[in-house]
Formats: sequence, structure tokens, C-alpha cells
Amino acid sequence: MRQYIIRRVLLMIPTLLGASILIFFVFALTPGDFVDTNLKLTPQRAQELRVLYGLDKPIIERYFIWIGNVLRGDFGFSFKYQEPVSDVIKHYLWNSFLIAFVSSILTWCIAVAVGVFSAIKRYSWFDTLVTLGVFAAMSFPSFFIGLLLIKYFALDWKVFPVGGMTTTGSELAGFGHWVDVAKHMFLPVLVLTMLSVGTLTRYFRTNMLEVIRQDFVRTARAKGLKEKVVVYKHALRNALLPAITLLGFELPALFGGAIITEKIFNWPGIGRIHMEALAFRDYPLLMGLTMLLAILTVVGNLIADVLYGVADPRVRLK
Amino acid sequence: METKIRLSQDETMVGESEEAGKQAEGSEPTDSGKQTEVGELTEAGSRDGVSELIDVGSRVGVSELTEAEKQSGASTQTVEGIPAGTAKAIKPTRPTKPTSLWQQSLKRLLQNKVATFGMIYLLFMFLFCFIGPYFSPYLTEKTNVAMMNRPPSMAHWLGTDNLGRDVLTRLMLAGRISLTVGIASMALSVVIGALLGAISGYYGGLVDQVIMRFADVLMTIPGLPLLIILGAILSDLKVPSDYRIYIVMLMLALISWPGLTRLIRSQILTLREQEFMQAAEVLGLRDRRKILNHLLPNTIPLLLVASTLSIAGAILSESVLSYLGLGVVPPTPTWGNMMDAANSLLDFEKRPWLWIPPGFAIFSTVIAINLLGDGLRDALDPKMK
Repeated sequence: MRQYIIRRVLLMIPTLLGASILIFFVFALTPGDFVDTNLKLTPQRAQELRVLYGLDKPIIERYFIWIGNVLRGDFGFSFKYQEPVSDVIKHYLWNSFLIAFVSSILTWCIAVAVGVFSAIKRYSWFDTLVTLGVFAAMSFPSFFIGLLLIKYFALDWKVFPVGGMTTTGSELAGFGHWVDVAKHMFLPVLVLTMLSVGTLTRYFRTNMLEVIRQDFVRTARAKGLKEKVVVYKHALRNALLPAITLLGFELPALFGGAIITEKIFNWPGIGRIHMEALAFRDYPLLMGLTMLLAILTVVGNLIADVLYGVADPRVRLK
Repeated sequence: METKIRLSQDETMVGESEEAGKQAEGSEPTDSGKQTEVGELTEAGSRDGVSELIDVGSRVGVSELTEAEKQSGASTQTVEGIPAGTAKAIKPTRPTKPTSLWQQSLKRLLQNKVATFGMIYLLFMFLFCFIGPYFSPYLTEKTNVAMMNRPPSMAHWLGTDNLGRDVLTRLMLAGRISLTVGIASMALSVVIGALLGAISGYYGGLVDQVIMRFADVLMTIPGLPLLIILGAILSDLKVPSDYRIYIVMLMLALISWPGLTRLIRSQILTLREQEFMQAAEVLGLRDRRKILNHLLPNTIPLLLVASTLSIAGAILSESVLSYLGLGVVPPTPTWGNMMDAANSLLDFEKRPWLWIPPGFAIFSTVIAINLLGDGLRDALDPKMK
């Protein structure tokens, strides 16, 4: 097992290097940078800024400077926020994590319950309804569902706030503050949950159906166990186990921010600063964020593979 | 990682086919199923020569799985109501008119009501978008200052926008672009994905390493951020609106080919080891012919499912991009950039007819494609379930 993990970690390195090259050159070759977009600068001042930010050096050299800094944990300096990129990310990361975490927990609970139940009651009206709901959830464009919710819940019925994380100008502290945040969280969490619950429900349903067909379940029934024990003790455990590999894939979603949802609900998280950085052409921040996503994805895949080995010993052999 | 995935897939395959075998032994109706299969094999043999025969055989194996699966689901009913089962056993084992695998799959697909509904809806959507505009009295009329921002009425069923254009007509014209972009980018990514996947699965070694590492790198960056960045670059390059459609197609294909390549590659890896490929080897066929005529045709069921679902993904991605103003930009209408109206607070709050119809069009089209894709998967490829 340890050897397997070591090999996987070593395999990560070229992939991440490749990703860094791709990211860097996509941004570096983009016409128009921070200096260009600022029309107020005199040519002389623009040149000074270029030298200051190292934009005048040849591109290959710039890549090596950048990647060297990244390896030391320095993602550069954000033009827009006038802070180191890593500080900006740290500042917004936990806001993203908050909604992503709550919605992940909701998603998993709903998906397990609904998926397993619809597998047990296969072909019932509940199952059909769930299947249709799953497809609907999978097919909603995130921005459309977000806009619809804002239109009805926030503007027309005024149940929830339109956006943001706290009420503007509110001085609440302690419990009151958290209630306020919870109210603002409701709609974005709802959207995120709706978008991800479909795939997971399907996954659990298929898993459960596969397990129920197996011999040991038949044996359990043949022994005369109650249907409840067969389903919830014997079958369910085996259906849930493979799902732990999916935990790894949750990683980018947990920390990477939801670009569209956060933009629509004006939630101050990673996704929103991603869009803002883009509008501002704040390349160091954009590169940092994209690199962060790439790292999260690769690490998430690694965790998934390792957990896969934990869940299914047969995989470890190779 | 690759080896691991391969291994686990092999395992599931073995497991499933064994299971299917057991079920086939257990239940009566499969008897007739087996008979037709044999009939088909010989028929195929006489038609296309030896390698094809084995070819078809391997595919029949797959389709047999579905039948066994379906019957395992249905068998509880037939066993309880014995007459149905016995009647089936007496029936002539060989159908008078032999049906092809494709016909069988189509029949299975049409039995799936939800998938059929999806297909009919898509057909309707295509007619709506491509033929519909010709029935509109507003097709030639570009803008109309006298009719700005009118709510839905008898003259304008979905109201008019801020330039006095009929929203319904615009919706149809936008659908043309959205559907075309979705299908074209899918076609492109399927061609790239299938070819690269086949090459990398067939040759292995260095070629495989290079292709798959490149795919890995592309897959480490999540699709949407990558698309957004590329979209921003397009805006900086000031690409004319007409050309942007084509570049957006390329962009969407760029992010979706790695997944397809991986899928096809793993399929080719298992196909490569089968007997019909040995036969192809013995016949001394060239690599190109082996890949294009023998390996890739066997992945068509898988490709069909994957490409259907990838159209849905492409339409969604395009709509997000265009909504953000980074995809196809006005004056070319797409469902996504029509929803751009929601970005202005006044339109968003007071004029929902501007942005709800395109949103609903995207949603309903994507759901129909997903339902059809899922039905196709059930009908063609039980392994992917």
C-alpha cells in the first residue's frame, strides 16, 4: 500500500508541472495585462511597472521565476487586492468552504437516503419520481436555477436576502451574526445541493441495486433474516463502502469555490474573486487560483485512489 | 493509476458476465434468446466474413447481458404467472425475420417511454428552432422602437426585448446556434477522443504515455475555469462575433476530449486482447484498418452514449459562457446570451419574459438529451450503468 501511494505521489509531479506550464503560458500569451488595461499610465510609468512586476523578461525566464516562487508557496502579488495572492485566497477560502461543506453534507445525506430507498422500491412511483427529479437536477444550468430562486424567494416573496454574506451595515455579533449568515447561505446552499445531489443519488441507487443482486444477500434472505436486517445491515454497508472514494473528488468542490453560484449570489468566496480577478485581468491571482484548483484536483484524485485501495483490497495488488 | 483502472474494469466485467450466465441458465425465456443469437451469428458470418463474425459475436455478448438483466427484472412476473413463461418456451425459437443488433437496440430504446419522450422532445426542439422561424412574422424585422419591452401578448407570444425584437423568434434563432454549437463541439471532441483513444490504446508505449499525460494535464484544470479564461482571452483578442461561434466550439471540444479519450482507450485495451483481433493480425491487416474497421466500430455503442451526453454538457457550458459574456456574443443570439438580460436588475425583476424562456429552453433541451442518453445507455451498453 505504501509503495502504491508513493508511486502515485511521484506520478502527480509531472502532471502538476504540465498543468503549471499550461496555465502559465495561457496567461502569459494573453494580450493585454494589468498594465495595458490602465489607460491613465504614461508610457514611462508603464515601463517602470513592467520592470517592477518582471513583465519585461523573456517568457521562459518568467515561467521559471514563477514556478520557483510557487514551489516556495509564493503565488505572487495580486494587482487588484494589493496583497499577496496566498493571503487573498486564505481570506476567501473559508467562506467558500462554509457553503460547500454544508451543501456537501446535505447532498450526501439526501443522496444516500433517497438513492437507497428508491433502489429498494425499484420501479415504484417513488423511484420514477426520484429518477425524474435526479435528471431535472442534473440538467439545470446553475445560473438559471440561481436566478429563478432569487427572483421568487428574494425579490417577490422576500423570504431570503438577495445576496452577499451578511446584511449590509449590520453590526450583529455572536449568535445574531450567525443567524444572519445562515439566512444568506440558504439559497446558495440550496443551489449547490440541487446541482450535485442528482449524480450522487444515481450512484447510490446503482450501487444498492448491484449489491442487492449478490449472493450474500440471497443467503441472508435464505437464512430467514428480516427484510429490514437484510437491507440495512447486510446490503447497505456494502453499497456505501465504495462511495468513500468519492470523498476524494469532493476536495476541489469544497475548497475551489463555485464560480457561477457565488457570482450570482454575490457570496464572498473563491469563486467570486475568480470572476472579479478575471474582469480585472489580475493575472497573478488568476494563475494562483487556477493552480490551486489543479492542485486540489490532483490531490483529490490521489485521495480517491488511496481510499479506493482501502475500500477494495483487490486494487492494492497492482 | 491506469493499470489499476484497467484491472478493476476487467473484474467488474468478469463478474457481470458470470452473473448473466447464471441468470440465463436459471430462467426459461433466455433459451429463445440464445437461439436467435446463434441464428444471427451465422447470418452475420455469411454476410461479412470471418473476422466480422467474431466481431459481431463479441457484441452479441454485450447485448445478451442486457437481455439477461432485463429478464432478471421481469422474471419475477413471468415466473409467478406461469402461462406467460410456458407460452414463450413453445414459441418458434428462430424469428421468421432476423433482426439486426441495431434494430434490437432501437426496439429496446423505444420500449423505454422516458427515453422516447426525450427523443420526441428533441425532435420538436429541432423543428422549433430550424423551421419555426419561417412561420414567424418577425423574422425579417430587425428592431422596432415602438414595441420595446412589451410583455407577452397575442401579437408577441413571449413579449419583446429592449430593441423591440420578438422574444419567441429570437428564442428559435438562438436555439439554432446553441444546438449547432453543442452538436459541432461534440462531433469534434468525439473524433479527437476516439482517434487518440484508439491510437493510445492500440499502440501503447510512448505514444500512449504522451497522449494520456497530456489528457491528464488538461483534466487537472476544471473545465469551467479553463473555459472562462479562454473566453476572456477571446475577448481580449477582439475576435469578431461571427468567428467566435467556431472558436467556442473548439474550446468546448478542447475540454471534453480527454474524458472521451480515456473512455475509448480503456475500451480498446480490452478489445485488443480478444480473438477477433488475433484473427485480424493473422489476416495481415494494416494497423489503420485494424483500428478504424475493427476496433473503433466496436466502441460505437459506447461512443453513441457518451456523445449524446456530451452534447448536453456542451450546451450547458456554452450557455454559462455566453451568459457571462465570454462565449458567443451578441448580435449572434444564443440561449445563454439571451439570459444576459438577467444581469440588469430592472430586466431581471420586472421583465422575466426576457430571461425565463431561454433558461427553460436550455433546461428542457438538456434534460431531454440526458433522458435519451440514459435510455441509449440502457439499450446499448449495460456495462456503463
